[in-house]
Amino acid sequence: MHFDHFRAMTTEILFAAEGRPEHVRLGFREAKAVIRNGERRFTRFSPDSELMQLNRSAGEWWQVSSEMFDVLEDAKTYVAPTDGLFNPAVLPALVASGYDRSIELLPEDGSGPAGAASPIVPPDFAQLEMDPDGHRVRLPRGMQIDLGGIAKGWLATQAAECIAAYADSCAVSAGGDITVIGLPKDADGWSVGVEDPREPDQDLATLTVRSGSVATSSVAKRKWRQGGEQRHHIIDPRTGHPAQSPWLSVTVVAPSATEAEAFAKACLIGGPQLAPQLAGGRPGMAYLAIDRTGHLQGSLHGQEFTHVASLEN
Amino acid sequence: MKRMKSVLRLWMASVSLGGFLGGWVLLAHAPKPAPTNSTSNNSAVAPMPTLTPLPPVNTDIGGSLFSQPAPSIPSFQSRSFLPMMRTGGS
Repeated sequence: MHFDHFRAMTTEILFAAEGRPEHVRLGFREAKAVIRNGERRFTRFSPDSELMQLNRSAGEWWQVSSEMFDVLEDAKTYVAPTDGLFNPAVLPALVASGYDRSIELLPEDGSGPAGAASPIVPPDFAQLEMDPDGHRVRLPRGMQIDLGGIAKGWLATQAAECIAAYADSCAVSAGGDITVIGLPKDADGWSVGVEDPREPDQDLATLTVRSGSVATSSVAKRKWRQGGEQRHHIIDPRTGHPAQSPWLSVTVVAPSATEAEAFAKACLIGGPQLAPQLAGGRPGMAYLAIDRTGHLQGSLHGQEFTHVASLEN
Repeated sequence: MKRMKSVLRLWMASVSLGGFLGGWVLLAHAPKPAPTNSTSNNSAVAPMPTLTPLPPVNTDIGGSLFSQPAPSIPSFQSRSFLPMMRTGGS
């Protein structure tokens, strides 16, 4: 088994693959270029990124790259099945909550800018217009989008497909958004530890993933203080505020990483009332939620469970 | 035999004394070494080389997404075990 790792998108990227070393090395090199290019394209922290140019074009038709078009198309696909809980148009609300710069630059003492006087409820992302023939999109006037999570998942899958062209089997993790292709030799799947959001060095469950992707949304990561209040980056599109969920994290196993990302976020925001209907019966999908006491809850192929040590997909 | 021993002792003593005195004379007439504690010669000492600072590892941890990537540090590894990936949000 061959490995490579590096940092990008302010998170840890890990490649693992089996195959001839000289071939795998080529695959890793291509995959790393995919991640680096995607990092530049999808960041909201550079005014020159394609994403921020698109945000400035709101109200007009705008030509985008095929990569941007793919991610936007995926994102739009998941709005209706998540009842709008997945909504990339939360950027103004995110900035108003204080997340206005790269996470490691946010002051931890709450000395950042004060929040908006009233919450900024995002517009419906499904209003985004797309022209597949011309590769053009039009954001409604006033819509500003953040593709952080879903772009990371999309890049994990792109990188995995790159490596798979050179390897017998591979897995790519982009900050815990994981895509696997093929099975490792002498194993019935890829082992994925699910972090305890209260103790990130510990795992609360182990998933055995044979195909597809895994993603986790957590309110325990990317958090900061604004004034006297604790904030995190999961915005509830219904209120424009950081989500108030009884769960600390939700992990979703799904056929694709973008789907896993979108549903992990939606389930975390929706909590125990909405998650079972959102993700419970969806083909190839399983979810695992962890609450503040470390209790596990979730479903696998429509079957509810309340305690799990091992979940297989 | 006894006489022979006495002659041999005398010969060894003479050779030792001669060698010692010869060495003394040679050293006394040898050129003196250059003084080492003279401040006037300090400028001739080669200066210590200035080393450029080592690049920090993972320079993009604390920087923006557009900071230059860290110099290529070999990170390609091969192991016999199956890796345990982890997920927990990011």
